[in-house]
Amino acid sequence: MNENEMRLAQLLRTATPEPPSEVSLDTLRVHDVPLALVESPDRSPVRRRAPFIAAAAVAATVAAAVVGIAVANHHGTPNAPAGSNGPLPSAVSSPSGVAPATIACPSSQLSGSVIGHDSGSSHNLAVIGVRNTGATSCFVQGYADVVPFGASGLITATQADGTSLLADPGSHQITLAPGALASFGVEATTGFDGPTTTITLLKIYPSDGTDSFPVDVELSSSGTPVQLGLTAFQLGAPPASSSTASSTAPSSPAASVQTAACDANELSVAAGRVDSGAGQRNVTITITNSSGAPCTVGGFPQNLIANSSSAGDSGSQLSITTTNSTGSPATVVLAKGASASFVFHTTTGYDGAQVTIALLRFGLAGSPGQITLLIPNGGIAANGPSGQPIPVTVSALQAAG
Amino acid sequence: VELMNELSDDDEFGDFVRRNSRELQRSAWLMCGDWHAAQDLVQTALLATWPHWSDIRRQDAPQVYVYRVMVNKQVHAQRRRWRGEKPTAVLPDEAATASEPTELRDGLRRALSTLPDKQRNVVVLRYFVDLSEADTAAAVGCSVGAVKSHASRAMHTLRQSRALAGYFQEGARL
Repeated sequence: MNENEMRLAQLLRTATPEPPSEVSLDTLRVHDVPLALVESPDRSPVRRRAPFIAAAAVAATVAAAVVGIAVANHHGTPNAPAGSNGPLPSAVSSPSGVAPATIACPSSQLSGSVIGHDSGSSHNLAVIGVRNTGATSCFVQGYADVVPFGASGLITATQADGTSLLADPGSHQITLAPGALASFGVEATTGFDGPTTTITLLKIYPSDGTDSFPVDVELSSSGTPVQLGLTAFQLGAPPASSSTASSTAPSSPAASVQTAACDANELSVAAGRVDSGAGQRNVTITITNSSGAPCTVGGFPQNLIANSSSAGDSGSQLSITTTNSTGSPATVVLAKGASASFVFHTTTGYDGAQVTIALLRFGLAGSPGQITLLIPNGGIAANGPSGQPIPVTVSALQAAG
Repeated sequence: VELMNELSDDDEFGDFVRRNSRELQRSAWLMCGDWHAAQDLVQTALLATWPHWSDIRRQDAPQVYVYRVMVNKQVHAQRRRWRGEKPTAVLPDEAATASEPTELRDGLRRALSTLPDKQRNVVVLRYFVDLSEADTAAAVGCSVGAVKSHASRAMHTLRQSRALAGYFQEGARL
């Protein structure tokens, strides 16, 4: 190692903080409870694990009561360790003041089936529809835990959040009225060397985590362990445009849960910090559904107007020219309190006079009304080419985590 | 006898977890930038390792397998992380000095967040975990040559990083 490499190694050793807690096998056992409940498939991994679980039989019974909480917290309900400035995957799941929905759906009250599938060059996706078959409302939340089986029993798999074929709405609590449908995507990767394994059955552990319900699937996968990607539960079927190709979802369940476009007057809006660098100015603009019901947004922001005065009077309107950035527009279903965002981009890279964008107005495809946003912290500085409009680029709306 | 072997497998795995818990978690923190994601990452990696333990334990360095699973899982979780942790071309001004331990830690986290995933993982495995170039290549899933070039590009970026200003010697050869 040269001197800089040694300094980097020293920096990493001294500046990396100590973990707040040990990884204990007890925690692993709690996460492992679903596997322990699996009825002894004829495969060695579980057999090997059996004595370990048995040794903790009492603990496991207790853990089963706790696991609902453990699983619910697993995906970032807002209780990150103190001092962490890191990402909180589930931002807003229910607006304050609205009572959280009832109870977590027990698996006995859920039934599942494949309502769509899709495939890419190295990924296969199944969209799993989950219906509340009980007589009462209940909720599902975040990411399900899935355990895959094939012709020879349990398939060893790792599970990660997010898929490449379906937009992940992020972790939210989804209330299911009796008969209502939620869905999520399960994606298997086929890009690895080695034999292909076909997953024929998924055991799905919903938010309450104590028991599973089965869904028959057909998903090719490769790699050991098999790598599964999941999207979080969303209300209804995923919007057709968020999946890249042929969804075979039967029209009836999708139609029964169709949601209307959000009314701009029932959306709240906020601008993030202005990211500046090399003449570029980027601001992430987040809109949140503040109405009482789910609604949809999508596409690119439209009819953008920028003002140099926060009063927004006509005399201060700036001359801008708006371009949609690359990226495919998709429909995003916003549950109550859920958010979507887009990136507003402009530049200071030209020689025209500098202006400050203090206020933005825009509309959304299919949505009545217009959204007005004051840019905090003195606005966004921008220069256009001399005597010409200021170039502005906006990205398509996407679900915000 | 088979049962005895199975039990000792699990005992040994428990021992492995206890011995490596601290380093695995700290490495994961360097990869993710926060404890919540880091602990998730370690748990997932250990869960995926456990069923294969009887095979893995015979290898010289079982932890290379765990790091490999961690890298895979971390790359898959990338999009989720990206929504929260956005690399910026120019770092905020408040990170300009790096003297106190907490400032140094914050500076390190900011500087690492500007690296592409592969470079970041190579830095962690090569310079923190102290894996050989060959083991790093196996864990990241690239060639030894690519490890070298990732490491050198990462080093270049980190040296320029304002979050670590003054930490590396100016003008020193790479």
